[in-house]
Amino acid sequence: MTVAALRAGRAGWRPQEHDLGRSERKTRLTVTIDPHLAAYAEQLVEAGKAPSVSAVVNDALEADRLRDQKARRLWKEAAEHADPEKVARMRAHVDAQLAALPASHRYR
Amino acid sequence: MSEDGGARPAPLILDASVLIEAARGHAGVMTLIQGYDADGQPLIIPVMAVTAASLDTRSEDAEAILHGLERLKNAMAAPVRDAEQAVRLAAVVARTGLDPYDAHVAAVADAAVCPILTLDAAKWRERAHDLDEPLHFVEIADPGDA
Repeated sequence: MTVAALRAGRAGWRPQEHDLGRSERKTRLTVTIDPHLAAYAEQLVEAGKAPSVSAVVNDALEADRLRDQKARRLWKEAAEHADPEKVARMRAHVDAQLAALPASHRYR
Repeated sequence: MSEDGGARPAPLILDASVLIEAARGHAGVMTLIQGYDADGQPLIIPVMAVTAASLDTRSEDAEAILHGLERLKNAMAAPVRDAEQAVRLAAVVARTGLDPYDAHVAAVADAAVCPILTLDAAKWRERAHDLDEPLHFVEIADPGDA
């Protein structure tokens, strides 16, 4: 987990927002993280910015999940908006060029 | 060769022009890339080309698109891993006159012996013979636009 992810999680820590997306049911798991990230999470707890180290990790993972979700949505929307015939022509054009490359650059 | 003895396609190296258009939300380019990924075509994303795309379009959507690119099943980022690679990148910049973003593309393509996927064939045509081994590239274009 990255510092940026932890920070991204921290950005949503106004208590009311924080609790909205949080499930009451929790799964216990054991993870190992880099010492500086553990220290950072503990600092946040000590400063009253997060209720627990678990909450820091939970929020960081949630931020990552939301970023992945947004990325998937944008790529999916692109596919929905593309002109399939145009994409097919582009693909055929690329494939024809690939087929003409020397074998060294075509296969592994 | 793959484990079952069949030939696997060589990875395609995505250059800055492709990543810039993807980050801008070009539906055709993004769909083409997704199609190759879905078909099991390995895609390599030089991180310096990602930098170029991120510089071109400074937005959260562009950031998410570039993030999503790396998450495609058959895509893999190519980093500048250490000082040796950074020095080699500088050598490619010096020899080709390419900017550092596409020089990284060239360095990866040269080292991996893979073709470059580009929207700017003219750029690579000029530089194709600047390194010890020729660079090979394929251009994304719609013949229907001609």
